[in-house]
Amino acid sequence: MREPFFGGVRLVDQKAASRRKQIGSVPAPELMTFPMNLCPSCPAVPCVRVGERVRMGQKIGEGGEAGVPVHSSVSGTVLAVEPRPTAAGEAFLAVVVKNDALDTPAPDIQPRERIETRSAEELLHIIREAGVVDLDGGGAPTHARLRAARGRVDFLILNGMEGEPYLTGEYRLLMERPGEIVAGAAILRQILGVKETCLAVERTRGEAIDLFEDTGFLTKNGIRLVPLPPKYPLGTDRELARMVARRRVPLRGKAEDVGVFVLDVATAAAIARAVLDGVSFVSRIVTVAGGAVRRTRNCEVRIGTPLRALVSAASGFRGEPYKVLVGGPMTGVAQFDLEVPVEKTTSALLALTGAEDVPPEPPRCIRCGRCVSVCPMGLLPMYLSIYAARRDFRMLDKLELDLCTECGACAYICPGRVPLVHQLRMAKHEKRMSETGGDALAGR
Amino acid sequence: MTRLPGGKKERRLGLMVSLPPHVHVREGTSAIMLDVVVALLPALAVAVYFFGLRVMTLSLVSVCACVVLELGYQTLLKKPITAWDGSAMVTGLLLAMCLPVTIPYGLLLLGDAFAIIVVKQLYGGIGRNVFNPALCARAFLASFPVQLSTFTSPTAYIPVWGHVDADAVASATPLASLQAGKLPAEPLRYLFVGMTGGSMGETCALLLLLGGAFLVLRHVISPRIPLSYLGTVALLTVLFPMGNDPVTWMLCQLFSGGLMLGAVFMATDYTTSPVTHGGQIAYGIGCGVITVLIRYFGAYPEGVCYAILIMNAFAWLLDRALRPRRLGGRLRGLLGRKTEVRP
Repeated sequence: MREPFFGGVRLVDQKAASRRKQIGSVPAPELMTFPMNLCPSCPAVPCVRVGERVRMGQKIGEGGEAGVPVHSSVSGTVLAVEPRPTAAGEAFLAVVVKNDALDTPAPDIQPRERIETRSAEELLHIIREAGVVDLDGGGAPTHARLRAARGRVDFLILNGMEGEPYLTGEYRLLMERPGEIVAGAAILRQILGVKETCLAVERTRGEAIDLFEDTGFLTKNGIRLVPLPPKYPLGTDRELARMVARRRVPLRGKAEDVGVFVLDVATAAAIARAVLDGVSFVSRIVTVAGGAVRRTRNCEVRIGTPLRALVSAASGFRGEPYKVLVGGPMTGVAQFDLEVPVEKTTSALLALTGAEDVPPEPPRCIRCGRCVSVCPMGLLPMYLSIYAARRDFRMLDKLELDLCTECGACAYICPGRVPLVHQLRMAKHEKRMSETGGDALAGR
Repeated sequence: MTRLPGGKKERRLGLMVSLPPHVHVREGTSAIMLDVVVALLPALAVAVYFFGLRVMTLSLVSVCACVVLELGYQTLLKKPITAWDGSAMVTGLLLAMCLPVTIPYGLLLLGDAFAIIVVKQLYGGIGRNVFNPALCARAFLASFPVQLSTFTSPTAYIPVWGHVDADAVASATPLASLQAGKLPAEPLRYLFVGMTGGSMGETCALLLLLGGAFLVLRHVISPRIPLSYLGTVALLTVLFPMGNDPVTWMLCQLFSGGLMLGAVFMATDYTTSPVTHGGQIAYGIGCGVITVLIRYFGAYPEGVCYAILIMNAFAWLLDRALRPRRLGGRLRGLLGRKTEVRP
């Protein structure tokens, strides 16, 4: 008996339009923008000058001590090194490259052989130099997480859950390029020395599950397939450690603390490409979907491509979109500008019509308690919201606001349409400001 | 819109920017309230069958009065209008259902006004009131003891309009005999289908339970409060029966008076009940204990109304004391004490 998952919500998955669309490609436009904070925790420093010629896969930003470098995904000329808007809503130092459409590769791209003879340290170095970061959400440098986890973990979970609605990039990866994932898993095993490897997918991905079970492809490669119920947010490290490895992660700890390493399948595939093919991380799979998109697609997009080019690749908008999101609808960021580039963590570009969400209403809590039932962390979002409005930081501390992961389940389920994620995020910000003595509204 | 190199300018898209999540569940507050009304309708239909058309007119008047009062109050005080969200409708219907069919229209309107204005709006409206408006109004109307305790037998003729001659139609209720320590005169199955004296909407235990099952299936309420409430009453009455048939005594206690209506529809009122799972169970148990205490030792035959009102006051405290279990493997016990649980 697997442990039941308390809390969480069952979302309308909205994947029907894109789940059967094969991974296509998007032509790189003339101007590509590479923000230096592709790995947000430790931004890179530009190492090219304006006017300099760059090749495809060439390093254009040097990662810091713990960070990873940034590579150009096209060949061409550096047009500018200046702050540019990013999908997060803030401008950040970026390298703008004028694409010469020749795709001249950098000379150091060479396939590697006899990987099994390489040491873990060598592999970690390759992964770092290729600019691989965790592709789901955070964008933490993968090599640093791997290095910290070495010797502490014995269980590897490949995360193919992709629980947010609309997103199908990882699903297409599973269907079309399972070899890359398996190769990535082998490299990860070599680095981490884990005993057991599992692939977690949602039970609703019937075709992928059938494919793997019929061919025995995963079992042959020592990977156990674990189908999980379609509940959001089951795809977090904490939940997967509990559901797949049946280990409880300490309240403020990480999965690594209980010997579990969780990595999404897209990052595993990126590691395989970096190590085996020697290519830097310069492109990823992005789902372009939503009711306001003419042609729903999954496409391999070069990092740095402006969103506008993605919209063109989807044959443009059908009417005026209501919202354009980077990422899934539960945690994605609404955009006001289509010039921002695709980043390493951009899983989707969604153009939603007004009909895809409920019309906005004035918020009104009716104390129904649904937010409490769905919170995966067992918090009381309703009470947190009350104390946040009062700025009662002592009570917020007592009710453990810091544990909130902003998954959005509470705000999704709220019948009174209370913007709980917004309120709690603001409360965290104000609390931080009050602790550091700063003004909560500074810089806003 | 950023300036592109070369000074190209394009038409600005009118994009909506907001914080996530960008999708929400379809059902809002009014859909939930509508579900509650639907769940109440079968029991109301049975009441019309047994007590006559006056049940219908009283309910309609009460519902309309509550909506109009809420609308009027919010318009006059220039507050956001929530009168159409259905909660006033539910309050009006519930208040009518927990009053006897002989109630004069004037008193009903007084009760509606008390429920909506004093109990609900003065505390800040939906989601903010401490006590259940319908039950509070019923408790308030108990200041008219004669009108509030005239119960009719299901076969008596009640005129739709005008004054009801109380003495002509009065009949004993099962609760009165239970209070006297005797089993009711009518067979148990009559109590179950509602063919007995009592407030107009409370007699048909069968359809009230079905309504509750509907609400549970629609995820409007969780079964925690009704089950813990009814379970506590069942346990206490079967352990301490009067007479020598504990099971019949227990079933009569369960199916008489306002217990079903209270446990399924009143105690589960969102605003006035706890939201944590542990809190809900403790709240149900508390309601059950107080109900039995009042029924056994009180001067008044029915304890459901006061039991729920008393427990309403504990809703926030219970939430605070019985917070949910954390994923991290720690159990948060009573009063925030932390207990380690082995993985």
